Amino acid sequence: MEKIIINIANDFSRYPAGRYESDGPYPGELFRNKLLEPAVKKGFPFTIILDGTRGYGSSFLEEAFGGLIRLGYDPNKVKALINFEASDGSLVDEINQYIDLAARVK
Amino acid sequence: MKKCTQEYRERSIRLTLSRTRRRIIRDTVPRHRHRKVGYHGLETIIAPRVFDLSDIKYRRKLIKMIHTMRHLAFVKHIGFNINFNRTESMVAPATLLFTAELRNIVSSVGDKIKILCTKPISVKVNEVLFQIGIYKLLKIESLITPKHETVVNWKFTCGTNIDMRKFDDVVKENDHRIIDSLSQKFFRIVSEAITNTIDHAYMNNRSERRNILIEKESWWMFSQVRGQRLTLVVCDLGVGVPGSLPDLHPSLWEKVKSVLGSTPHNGKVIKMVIENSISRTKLGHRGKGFTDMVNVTGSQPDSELLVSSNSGWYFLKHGQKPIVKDFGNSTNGTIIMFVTPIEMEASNGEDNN
Repeated sequence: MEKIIINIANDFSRYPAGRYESDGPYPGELFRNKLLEPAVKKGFPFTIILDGTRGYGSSFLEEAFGGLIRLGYDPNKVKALINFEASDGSLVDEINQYIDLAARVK
Repeated sequence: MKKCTQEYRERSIRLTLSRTRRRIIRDTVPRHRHRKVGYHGLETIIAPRVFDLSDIKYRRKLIKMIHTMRHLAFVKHIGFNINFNRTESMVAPATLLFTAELRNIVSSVGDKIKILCTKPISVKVNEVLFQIGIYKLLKIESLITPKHETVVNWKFTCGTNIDMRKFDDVVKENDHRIIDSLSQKFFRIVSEAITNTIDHAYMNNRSERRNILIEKESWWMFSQVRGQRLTLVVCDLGVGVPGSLPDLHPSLWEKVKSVLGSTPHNGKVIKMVIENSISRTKLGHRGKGFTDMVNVTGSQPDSELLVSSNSGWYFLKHGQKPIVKDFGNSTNGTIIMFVTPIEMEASNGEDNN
C-alpha cells in the first residue's frame, strides 16, 4: 500500500495563505484541490506534516479542511484517514474544529 | 554714462524672465485659476502639519487633503503639487493611508496627469518621504540617506493578492530575534488582515466614489522592528467594516441596528464585530482574523491593536479596556495597526541590538 505523506512546506508552499484560488498563489482551495482531496479519495490513511511553513492563516485551514467536508466528505472518515504531524498541537485542534463546524453547518 | 556691471546685467535678465513668465501665465491660464496656480502650473495642495488620524483636528485636515487629491485626479483630471513645507510629523497609520491613496491615484491616472511635491523643510519628514517611496513614486530625485532612528527601520510593501512571500520582506532582517511561535502568529495576523481585504473590502465601490477605480494594488503595509517592538500597519481602500455589514452579514447588521440604532456609532460597530468574532460573510465558519489579533494583544504584554475603519476607531492596549470612537469623518477604508514586543531567541549569547 502506497504511503502518502503530504509535507505542506515542501509539497505546497512555505507561505500558505488565503482562501480561494483567486486570492493568491497558495490558498486553501488550491491545496485542497491539488493535494488534500486526491489523498482522501484514495481511501487509505495518510500523513500531513504541518511543520516548516511560515505559519497558517485561519482562512487557509478552514477552506482546506472545512471545505473538504462541504464537498460532501464524511467528517469522521476524514479524521480517521489523516494523521497530523505538528509541533504545535493547537493547529491540529483548530483543524478538527473546522471539520466539526463544517459538518454542523452542512 | 555709467558702465553697466555684470551683476546689474544678470539681475536685469532675471527680472525680465520672471516678468515674461508671469505674463505667459496670465495670458494662458483662466483668470479664476490664477489664485491656485502654483508650482509648474499645477494645483497646489498644502499638506497638513501633522499626519495623524487619532486627533480630530489633524484627521479632518488629512482627510480633506485626500479628498482634494482624489477630486482633482479622478473628477477634474488635473495634476497637482503636494506642498510638504509645513509638515513636521507623520504618524504611521495616517501616513499609510496617504501613501495608499496617492499610489492608487498614480497607478490609475498617473500617466494622464502630473503629480509633484514640494519637499518638506523638516529633515525627518524628508527622510520619511524617501523611506516610504513617495519620491520614487513621483519620480522626484532625492539623494538623501535616511539616518533618523525612527525612520530607517520602516519598510513598505503592497500587493494585489495574498502572496505571503512578502512577509519575509517584513521580518527577514529580524527573523533571528523572533521565536518561531511568535513569528507564526504574526504571519497569521498579516495573512488574515490581507485575506479580509481581498475577500471583503472591495465588494462594492465606496459610496461617493462609484466612478473611482481601485486598480492594481489592493493593500498596503508598513512594518518596523525597532528595539524590542514590531509594528505592522495594513491599509485597504475598501468599504470598511461598518460598510460591509448590511450586505455580507445582514443578521449581524440587524443586531447592530437594534443595539446601536440605524446610523450606528462606527467605533461601536467595529467593537461588536471584533468581540463577536463573526465574519462579514453569510457562512458562520469564517472570520477568525480579528480574533487572532485580539488574542495576541491579550496575551502579549505591551501589545496594541488599532482598527480604524471609515469613521470608526477601536484601540486596544494590553491589559486595558478598548477605546472606541466615532470621528464623524470617514477615511474610506480600513487601517489595522498591530504593535507587539518581539522575543529574543533563547540564549544565543549575542547582543542583537
